[in-house]
Amino acid sequence: MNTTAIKILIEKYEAGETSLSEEQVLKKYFASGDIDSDLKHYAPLFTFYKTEQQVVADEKLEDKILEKLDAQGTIPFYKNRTFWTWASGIAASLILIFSLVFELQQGRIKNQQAETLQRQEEARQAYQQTKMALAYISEKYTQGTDPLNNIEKLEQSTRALNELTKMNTGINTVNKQMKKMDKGVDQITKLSKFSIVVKP
Amino acid sequence: MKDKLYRLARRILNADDAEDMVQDVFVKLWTKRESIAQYQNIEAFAMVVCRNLCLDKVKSKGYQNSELMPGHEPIDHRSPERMAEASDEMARVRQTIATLPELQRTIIQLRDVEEMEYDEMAEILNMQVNAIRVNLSRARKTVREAMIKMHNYEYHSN
Repeated sequence: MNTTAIKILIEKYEAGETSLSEEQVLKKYFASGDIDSDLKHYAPLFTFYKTEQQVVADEKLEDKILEKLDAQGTIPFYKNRTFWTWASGIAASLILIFSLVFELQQGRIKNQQAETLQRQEEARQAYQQTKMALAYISEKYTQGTDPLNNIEKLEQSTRALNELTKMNTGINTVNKQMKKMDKGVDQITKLSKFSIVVKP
Repeated sequence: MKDKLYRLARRILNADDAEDMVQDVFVKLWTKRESIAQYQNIEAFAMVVCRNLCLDKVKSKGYQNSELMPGHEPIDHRSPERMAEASDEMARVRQTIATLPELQRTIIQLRDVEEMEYDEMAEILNMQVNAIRVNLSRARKTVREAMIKMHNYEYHSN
């Protein structure tokens, strides 16, 4: 950057018309060490600005800020009376709402528990009754099947009876023969009577 | 951000007060945290708060920034760059700027040290850009005159 250009920039700078980048050019020029004798008086000023940019607050400042925020920023707010009236109001209503909800919930749970217990009891009773009924039925059933064993006996006896009927037919034939025999005997007796009649 | 605030406060107040001011700025930011959301540029807002607090401090009864009084050298052993500033030259430049009116001093701080754009400065200072330019020009010319005087004094005394 030649001296005339810098001098023009300095004029603009003093008029408050330089842009930040133009001011950057000036700062670099005065930091370079190769400064025109006409402009030498300006050098300390730009050096000063540069050192000022590097000024930082004490390391402890951050801690102090945090401390102060703790002490003055947050606590006074909680010490505030309106805060407490509001907070207590909100807390009270919250407790009320929560207790109501809890109560309702608890009641519902109890109802549900009672209902399930009742249902379980009913189911148990029903089961017991069915069981008893089934047991009764099966008992009666087995009792009922016992007489069925007699059917076999009956069969045996009917078989025996069948034999009897066969015997009957035999008897019948015997009877028929006997009747025939009776007739023959009758005829014989008639004939004998007849002979008695004829003989005289 | 705290360093930027500190540097601005430092331009107006002495080191101890500047630290206190920066703490107060953060406290104020905290207490106003709900309304902060509506500010587009929180840093600019913090700078506004910082400047106002510093000005209040300056206006408060009996406040004197001993460092700005002629013949008083700044005594600040905490920052190394201050100690490195062994030469009288830097101290005198500081003195020169310290004697500027507060507005010009603050404008110099924002523009030549913090390198802010004019619209950002306008936001912080609540001023028209043109008015800022005029004040900056005035400040720069005053400083230039002082620098020439200082240079000649040194030149002649050497």
